[in-house]
Amino acid sequence: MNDLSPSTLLVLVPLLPLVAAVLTVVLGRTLGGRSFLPALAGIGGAFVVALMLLAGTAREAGLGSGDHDHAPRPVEMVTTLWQWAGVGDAQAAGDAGSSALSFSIPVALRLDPLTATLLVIITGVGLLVAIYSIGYMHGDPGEPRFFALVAAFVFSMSMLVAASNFLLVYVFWEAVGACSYLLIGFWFSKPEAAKAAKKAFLVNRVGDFGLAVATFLLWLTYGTLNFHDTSLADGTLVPGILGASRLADASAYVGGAVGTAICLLLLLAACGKSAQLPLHVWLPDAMEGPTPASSLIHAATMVTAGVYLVARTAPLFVACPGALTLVSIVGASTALVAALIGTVQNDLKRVLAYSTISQLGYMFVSLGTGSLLGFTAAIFHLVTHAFFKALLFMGAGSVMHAMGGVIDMRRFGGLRRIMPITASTFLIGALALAGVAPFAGFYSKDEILSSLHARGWADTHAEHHESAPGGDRAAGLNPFRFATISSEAPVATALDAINTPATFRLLFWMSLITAGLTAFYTFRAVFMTFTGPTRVPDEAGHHAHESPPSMTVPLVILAALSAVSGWWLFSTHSLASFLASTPSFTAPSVAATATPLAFHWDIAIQGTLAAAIGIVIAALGHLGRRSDGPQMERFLGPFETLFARRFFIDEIYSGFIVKPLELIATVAAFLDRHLIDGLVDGIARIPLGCGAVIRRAQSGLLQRYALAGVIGTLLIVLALVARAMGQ
Amino acid sequence: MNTTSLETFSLLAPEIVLVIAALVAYLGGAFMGLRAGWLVAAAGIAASMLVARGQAADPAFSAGVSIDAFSTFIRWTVLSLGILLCLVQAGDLFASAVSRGPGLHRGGTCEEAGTFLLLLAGLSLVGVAGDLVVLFAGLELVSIPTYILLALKRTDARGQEAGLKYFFLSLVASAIFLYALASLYGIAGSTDMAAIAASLSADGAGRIAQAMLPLAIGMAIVGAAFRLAAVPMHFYAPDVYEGTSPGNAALLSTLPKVAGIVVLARLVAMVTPAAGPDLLWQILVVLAAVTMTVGNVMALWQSNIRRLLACSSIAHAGYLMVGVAAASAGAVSGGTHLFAAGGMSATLFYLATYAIATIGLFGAIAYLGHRWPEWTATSGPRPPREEISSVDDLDGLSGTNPVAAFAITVFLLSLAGIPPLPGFWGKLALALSALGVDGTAAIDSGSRRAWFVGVAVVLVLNAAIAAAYYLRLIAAMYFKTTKRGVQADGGLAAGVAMLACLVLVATVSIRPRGLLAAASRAGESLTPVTAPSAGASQSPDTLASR
Amino acid sequence: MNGFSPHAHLLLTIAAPLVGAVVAWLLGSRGLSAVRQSAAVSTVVTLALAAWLIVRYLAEPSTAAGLPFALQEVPWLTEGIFDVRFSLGLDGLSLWMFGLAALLSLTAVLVSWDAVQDRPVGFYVLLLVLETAMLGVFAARDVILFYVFFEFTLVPLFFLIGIWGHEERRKAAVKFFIYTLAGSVLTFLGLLTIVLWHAAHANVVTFDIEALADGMMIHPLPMTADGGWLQMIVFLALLAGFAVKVPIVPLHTWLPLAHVEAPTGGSVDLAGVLLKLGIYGFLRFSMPMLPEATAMAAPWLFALGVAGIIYGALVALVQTDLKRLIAYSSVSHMGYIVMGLFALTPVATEGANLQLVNHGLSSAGLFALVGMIYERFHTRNIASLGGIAAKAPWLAVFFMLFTFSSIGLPGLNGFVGEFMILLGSFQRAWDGVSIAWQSAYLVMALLAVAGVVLGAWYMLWATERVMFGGSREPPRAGHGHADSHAASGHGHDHGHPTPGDRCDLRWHEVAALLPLAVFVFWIGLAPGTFLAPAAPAVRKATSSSATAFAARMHDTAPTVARIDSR
Repeated sequence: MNDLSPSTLLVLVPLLPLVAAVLTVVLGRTLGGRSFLPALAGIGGAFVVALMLLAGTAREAGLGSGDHDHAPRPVEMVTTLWQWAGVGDAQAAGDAGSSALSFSIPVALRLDPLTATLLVIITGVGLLVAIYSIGYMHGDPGEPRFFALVAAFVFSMSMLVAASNFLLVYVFWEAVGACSYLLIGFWFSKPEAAKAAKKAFLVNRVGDFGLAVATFLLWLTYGTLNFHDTSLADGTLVPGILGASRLADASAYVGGAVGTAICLLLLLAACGKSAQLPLHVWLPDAMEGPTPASSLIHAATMVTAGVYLVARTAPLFVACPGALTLVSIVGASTALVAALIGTVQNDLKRVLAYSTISQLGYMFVSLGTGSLLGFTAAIFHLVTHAFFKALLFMGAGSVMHAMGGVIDMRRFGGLRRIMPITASTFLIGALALAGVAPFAGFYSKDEILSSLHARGWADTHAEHHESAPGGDRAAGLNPFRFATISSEAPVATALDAINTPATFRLLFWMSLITAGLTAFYTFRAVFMTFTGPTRVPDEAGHHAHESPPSMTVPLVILAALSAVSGWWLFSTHSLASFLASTPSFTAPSVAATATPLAFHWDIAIQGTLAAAIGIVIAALGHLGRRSDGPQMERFLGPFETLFARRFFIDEIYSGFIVKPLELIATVAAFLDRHLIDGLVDGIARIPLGCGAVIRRAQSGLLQRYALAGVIGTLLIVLALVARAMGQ
Repeated sequence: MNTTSLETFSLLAPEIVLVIAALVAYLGGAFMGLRAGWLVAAAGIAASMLVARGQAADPAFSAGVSIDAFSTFIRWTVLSLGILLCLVQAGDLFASAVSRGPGLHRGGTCEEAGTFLLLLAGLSLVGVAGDLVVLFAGLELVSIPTYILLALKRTDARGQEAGLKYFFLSLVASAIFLYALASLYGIAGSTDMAAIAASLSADGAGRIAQAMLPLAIGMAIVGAAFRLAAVPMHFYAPDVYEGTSPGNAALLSTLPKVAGIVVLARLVAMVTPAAGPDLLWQILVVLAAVTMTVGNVMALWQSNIRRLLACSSIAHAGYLMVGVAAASAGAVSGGTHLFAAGGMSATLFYLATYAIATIGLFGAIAYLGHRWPEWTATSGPRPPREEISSVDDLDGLSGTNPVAAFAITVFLLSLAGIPPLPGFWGKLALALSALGVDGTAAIDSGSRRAWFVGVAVVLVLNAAIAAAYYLRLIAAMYFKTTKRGVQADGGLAAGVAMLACLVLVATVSIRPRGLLAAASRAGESLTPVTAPSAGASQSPDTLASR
Repeated sequence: MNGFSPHAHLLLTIAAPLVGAVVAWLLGSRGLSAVRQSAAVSTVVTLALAAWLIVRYLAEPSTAAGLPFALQEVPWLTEGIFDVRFSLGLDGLSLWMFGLAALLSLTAVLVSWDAVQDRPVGFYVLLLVLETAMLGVFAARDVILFYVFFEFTLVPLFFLIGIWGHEERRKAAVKFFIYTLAGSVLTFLGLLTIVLWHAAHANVVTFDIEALADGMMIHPLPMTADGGWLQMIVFLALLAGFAVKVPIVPLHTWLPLAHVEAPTGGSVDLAGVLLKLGIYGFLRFSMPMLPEATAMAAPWLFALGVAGIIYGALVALVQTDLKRLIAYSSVSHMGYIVMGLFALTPVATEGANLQLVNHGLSSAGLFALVGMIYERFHTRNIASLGGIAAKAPWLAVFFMLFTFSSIGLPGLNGFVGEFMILLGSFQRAWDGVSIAWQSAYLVMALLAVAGVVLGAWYMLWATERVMFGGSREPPRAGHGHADSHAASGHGHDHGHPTPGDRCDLRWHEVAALLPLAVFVFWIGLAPGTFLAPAAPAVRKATSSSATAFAARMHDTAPTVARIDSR
């Protein structure tokens, strides 16, 4: 296979699923019950290719040479497919002041450690989900549609992480959203599913608003949208936003108001896609979709796009410490709030949904530290989370499959006897999620806590390098004209002011509490579902049984990965040092924060302790009991309502945004019909009114006509005389 | 003046032929039992055309008669419209005539035809008149046959009322106009128009002239306004049109307008240089704007077709005056603008396009004739058919008589000025002439430019208002359905007139150049009579065409 | 075939529908299927001719430099002060709209296949006449010829709405006609003023659009108090017609009425092509000929565009009639185009020009689909519809596709234009010289981006209600449906879907939608193909306005050659 160039391979990763999707649509009827075949082959092929790419990139990055002391050098490979659009010389005409802005958008793919890692995760989990769905979706009339959509999603997601241009990122950012929309609404005849799909799309659109505006500002600030450096026909080099030449320059990134604005907008986008506060509301509802889709899209891959985006644009964020801190704050708050809501959910999939939101919050906390450790820890957690959350979702799906579609934990219990494989793999996943050593979640969560700890107690660690915000007149920048307000923008300054160790100390404690809560709700779900007396809802009939092998095999594979991947990746430091070669992380401002990778016993103990407390409380409350008891209500008191109603956030949106807008819209529609159109009709009535007056003169009486004629004559003559006199 | 009367006779030969034909009709009808009066009329007009064709093209002037491009254009317009109107009149069979029994109306009576020929002769005489006396004689030769036609054609009470109204108001207008002529004679001491013009442009225009001139102009305008059915002499039009037959309405809405335009044109040619830049055009602009607006807004309320078209004809009189006003402004401004000289041409062109569409429209209505009332076999004997009079009567015409519906639609759209129909080209010409007055100056308030831009805006907005009631007719024909059949019992001749007008409309739409060229020559021949210097340096001919 | 000269090709393309109209008329006695087949054949032939012409255009090297193609000129009214010519040609501004008009005409015929049973001869003849007018207006290179086609489009559409429309068709037809006429007559005066000014100063009478545009560069209309702001007055006169046509809020109220009442074929042409005439007019006349007035008005029109985006979206949000909702979405989307046009940055204007085509495709597709829904369920009331995706999956697929195109989903066509317009608008905000200027533009641009969210809201709300959810049973029109023109499919086996029946797209409906879908993807994936041919012409049309705008912005008044009127 060495005769295939890396760029060909890179193109193959998205291409194979795309072909599969198209084939499934075209051949849907012909394939009948075997409509999974194209998707399986396509995603499987893409997975193999992604592995090859990963291996190649790892070689390129010098991984495995054991030489960790050298500063990592950026590894990237860009391949341009075709020119998407271009506007010759896009500078505003007649505006000599601005340097040339070229609006030239190539369809360019890139390969670097970050992309390679994510490609493997996307195609790998995608493959497992496809295999799992063979059993899960069997017999559904929309089966071909499902597999086409899954393949299309894998295509879009691979393109999203492989795109080397902000516009392309935006394109596939929305494309994955559209796939998600179609999968959430897969059972479109259910009104809830249709509503949830719409909600997901709209909330994501709010985030997309951020990405769109951020893209505009990036283009205006940096004069290009490419990540990579491009050379024009005349040989001049256009430094890409994340290209080598700009990365080499410590002050090449703007801070101040513009930089902060860009970062906040990117954060808004990330919040939308990754379901962070305040845009998290769509994800729990998205559980209306088929469980394999939830597993793939709403747990393992698409929702991590926000994490990817922030990681990818790390140099931009590092130049704006205030925005960076906000990333952490958003992440920690989301993690805590979602965990609290998760504690009172009775729907197994919703518990997992809130857990996803919470874990994504962890990743954001980590990103917000702005250190190389933080960024790599976030990606590390992304990887492990993909394994164990996909596992948990598929396990939930397996339960749901057996329970005849019932997913309310209060209606079943003690399922470990009926479905042992599901139960044991679910338990492994739960342990990983709860952060129990040595399962995967433990290591990644530990790294996140370490990165926070490093910021909060900077003196005990190596001196944290405070990255200087880029100057407003940094080299190679388009001289933007917001200079007057950008240097002294109060918002940006205020944001920068919260970038203190104290903030991070608070965030650390919040994260630790979240860790405990995570363990609690995870094991609450485990206990309610799998322990206690065996109970099966009526919908399941009398043949509740373990799922078919196509469903359990992926569970087992994922369970194995959840068990060992954390330890393996951590102990070898392979992932961290591999990711360090990602161009974005080689920016001086990021690379300078590199710290020796170490295992922090103190943090590990704190984390484990939190998890242990959580598990114990869950055991006290739920182990062995009937699962529909009122334990939580008694335990939480008034807070139970608050949590169960999700902090009333949906109601707040409805009351403060949706309803007022609808009211305004109603008023506008009323005014449109009665004021604006009424005005038009009114104007149209003016001639009519004049006519009504004038036709009164049309009395039919001869003498009046004659009189009027004579008076008219006199008037004309008088006017003429007056005119003649006036001259 | 040096010409012999024989030469004058030869110049007036077409008109004389018309009069002879009229005499043939009268005598033939009375003594020889000649019944096909309109055939005689058509033959007379054709003969007159032949004679007119044979005349020399060169301008000629003889005792009170001036033959130039203008009068030739008018004469040909009159004769052509005469042929069309003959057809319409021949097909104009309506209830009151029917009551007089068959035989009498088929083909029209010879009295009607003869009277009509006299009318044409008078109108043609108006066109060629170079002397006030001839002009007035011509006008009266138009008016008196009109009274007779109105009285002859319709014998019911409404028809008589219409005839009387027209008669009395026409007398008033004629009297006022006569005062104007007398005043002009008083000022200039001559009845010859060229002499009057020369006298007025001479420095010696004394104080009497200064004082008398506004009086003369004002009353002359009013005299013309009656013929045009323009404000303030427009009141009669709806009543008279409603009261008379479609054929007479067609006649009234076209032929007197020709006379009115000729009077205004001659007036402009005579008096503008002396009256100074601000005297004539301003009052014409105001009258034009008021007339078109009054006509259109009144039309919005009409439900009777002929009344509606009467209001529409008032509005079109307003449009026609825009070009005259532009010409009057152009004639005196000493050539600072390029296009206003086209004002008279635009008016003449518009007049022709208007007349074609209007005659076609009345022809169609005459052709359609009657409709059956709603009736079922169980509800007793079938009621008599009713004359088509209201807009509702046209309901569903597209289904019952698609050809007529299509023709009416085309005529209406042409009147509304929808491209590429003749009415559009006419409005284009009018708008260009109005905008061309001081065409490069700023639009300062009170300036001549502002007045003319204003009237152009009023013109086009009126076109939009007018579209409302034209569309109402179209909507009735196409968007509604009816159970009442249209009889289409009018004479076939009216149908032929309708189709002939349709052909003319199509011809002018596709190739407006021929008609416009003739109108241009006519307009240009008129303007330099009194203002030889106007536009000489920058006449349109000096412009290099692309 | 190489001997087939381009101008003859162009003329043939424009005349082909007229020939088809005559054929359809002659075949009238042979019944419905003969008529509609002949109409379909002539639109297909026209489309093929147009497509081939576009291919020839793209193959011609001189067009890349912005030179017009397939020129021809026949004197029409050259007499004295008139120099009206029947002069046709294509350039970058008109190329795609020309093709779109040909494409959508086919769509219009196909969507009327079963819907029009009443008086089919008249319907198809008018549709074909309308096609000629639409093709002609984009090919016209003479002011008067342009205006002739521009106005003439009203006539067939008036009849199409008034005869084959729905309940309030008469009111809608008349209002549509008079409203647009009242605006465009002022445009007419403005155009004549330009001609006169040019003739007086260049001493050459010409009605040629290109010559006028060039001439107005040398002899601009005065934009000073001395000159009486003549340029501004003319600009406003042109605006009157173009703004109504677009329509720019608040001159839009004829549009929902006309759309709701129009038959599907008419809606397709109206939304797809005729709305674009206003924008085309700005690009063709206002911007090149009146640059300084354009520059002065640009911020206000930009703001009106943004207002239209938000306002149209909000009103769409509470509509109960699906067709009315889509009509208001047109108002909103045309707001984007207006905004992009008057942002006057290259990216925005080229995006706006492309968005003309994009909106044409998506709105035409949506209107076609609403028509198909109405044919099946005899209602457009959103509350009475539901669950169509289960009954007609392919209909739902197309509906979703055009919905996604309409809300600007990347990868589809709508995104490209919208993105470029917004990007260009931000650039305009960025390039401002004062804080107030920048802030105002920035706020407006942000509002416009927020409009994207609103756009997704109402479209997806409608999709959810109409396509998804449980199957609601709309009140079915019985056999006693009085409106024979509106009831459809009598005697057709799919005419009356019973509950639960699958009533998916029929072949002619697929044929109507599929070409649009192809272009939805094509433009979305390779917009460069469509941007590049138009770019030189758009640049040329807007550059003088952009220069004047920059000059205004920098408060260094452009040095206008003062032209003494005497």
